[in-house]
Amino acid sequence: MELLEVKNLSKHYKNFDLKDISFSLPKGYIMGYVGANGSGKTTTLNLITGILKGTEGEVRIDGLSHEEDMGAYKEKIGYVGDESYFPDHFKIKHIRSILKDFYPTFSADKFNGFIRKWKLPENKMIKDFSRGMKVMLMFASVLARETKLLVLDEASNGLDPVMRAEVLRLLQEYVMDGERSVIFSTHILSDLEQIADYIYFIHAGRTVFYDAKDDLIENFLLVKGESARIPPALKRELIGLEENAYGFEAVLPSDKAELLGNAFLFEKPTIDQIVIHYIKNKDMDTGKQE
Amino acid sequence: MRALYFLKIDYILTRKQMYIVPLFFVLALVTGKSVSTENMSLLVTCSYMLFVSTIFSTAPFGYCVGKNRGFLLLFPATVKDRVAGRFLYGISFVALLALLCGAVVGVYVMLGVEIPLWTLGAGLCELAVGIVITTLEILFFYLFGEGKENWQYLSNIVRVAPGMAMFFAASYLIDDAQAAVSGTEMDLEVMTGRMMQAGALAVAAALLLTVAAAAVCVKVIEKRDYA
Repeated sequence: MELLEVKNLSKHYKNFDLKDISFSLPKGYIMGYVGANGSGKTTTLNLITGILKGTEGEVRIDGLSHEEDMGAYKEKIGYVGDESYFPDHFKIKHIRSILKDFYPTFSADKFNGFIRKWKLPENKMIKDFSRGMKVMLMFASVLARETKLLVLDEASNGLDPVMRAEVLRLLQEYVMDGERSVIFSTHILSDLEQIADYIYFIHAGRTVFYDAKDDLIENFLLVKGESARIPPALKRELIGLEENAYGFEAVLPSDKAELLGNAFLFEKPTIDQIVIHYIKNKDMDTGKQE
Repeated sequence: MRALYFLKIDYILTRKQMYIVPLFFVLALVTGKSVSTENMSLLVTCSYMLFVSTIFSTAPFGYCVGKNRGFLLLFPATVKDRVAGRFLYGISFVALLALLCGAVVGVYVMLGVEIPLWTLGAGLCELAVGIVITTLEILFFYLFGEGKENWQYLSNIVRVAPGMAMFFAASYLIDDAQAAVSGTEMDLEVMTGRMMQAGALAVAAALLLTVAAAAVCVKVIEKRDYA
């Protein structure tokens, strides 16, 4: 059963186009939404939360679209961004009181539990919180109510390793009941390595690939060797070829493995390596066009 | 109901200015004393209070800019709820200071100062002007500046100038009005009745304008991103 369905989502700006983004995320799974800066990650996530209006396409959460019932749609979403969206002059008591008003499923006890657990200061204004505290407050505010989909936009960036580990643990716990899902954009791809079930890679507003993480790792090889020994047939297939004084490194689709022969080293790549080589490849393509 | 929640948010956002409101009440009492001893109307004091209210009533636009707006946008509510909450804040703030004006007048009545009844009608007209100014300011902010971070200077002018103009115009017109009243041959009771009617009509018209302005804001904002 799909929790999040995105169909042909497009958004047109003067200097940027997000084009034909389509995917679905089943209940109980975590999707990593990755791409370079300016590739359209935040735009997509804002379209999903309903803050932005798409030029074309459709988003459904648990079968419900934004247009059908905006209130019910937004209730299903918990959003944690890279910056705190709470007004700087608020204190925790104000946030608690407001969330109670707006969300029937909000549990003040749960919220207070998170506040105590993460030692968030009740009497300080949000502007005096550290970045980590602000992120954890956003998590407390979304985890204290019943949501179906967590939308995280670079939420773990800038957190110390202990807090990052806590966030990853929370996400795994969140999807554990098999009814809820997470879409998670981050630059820290090692986080996705640990928790993501699906990877959606976007570049310059276009889909590059979208697959289950394990299949993705199986579908590529990280190849290393001497640059001089690369045959032309292989060179054409290599993605993000990076050459230096010691040789080359690139990724290759696994179904082209026969081109390698015995002359090169290959291994399973990490998500990080696949994405970095793809971005290099795309940048090289753009350079060629220019 | 959700509009009331947004109203509550605006009061929390601007809670610091609520601490200043009693100071304006005291100031109005003091300045009221000097104008009443000069046999002038307390309307000058009231127009001063309403001038203050038109500045404060749009304060949430200054507190909720850039990333802070995300908090409001993510709530399960419609644009209509959010805009209604903001207009309710503006109008309720004007009404609050109008009530304080009433309290100032009440204090002077208890002290034995005679307040001509026709000034109540004139006071209602002032209230109507205060509502209109606040409405137009909110309309302006929604149409041109909601959430913008880099136009503090212009937004301050927009917030202060109309109220200030109202204050000076009222101070000027009140002298003329008093002269006209003392020179008229019309029965004072009839004139008071007419002034009250005019005041009540003006307030009703101002509130209708507020509803129309809110409807325009909703229509415009619904088409925008970050709405």
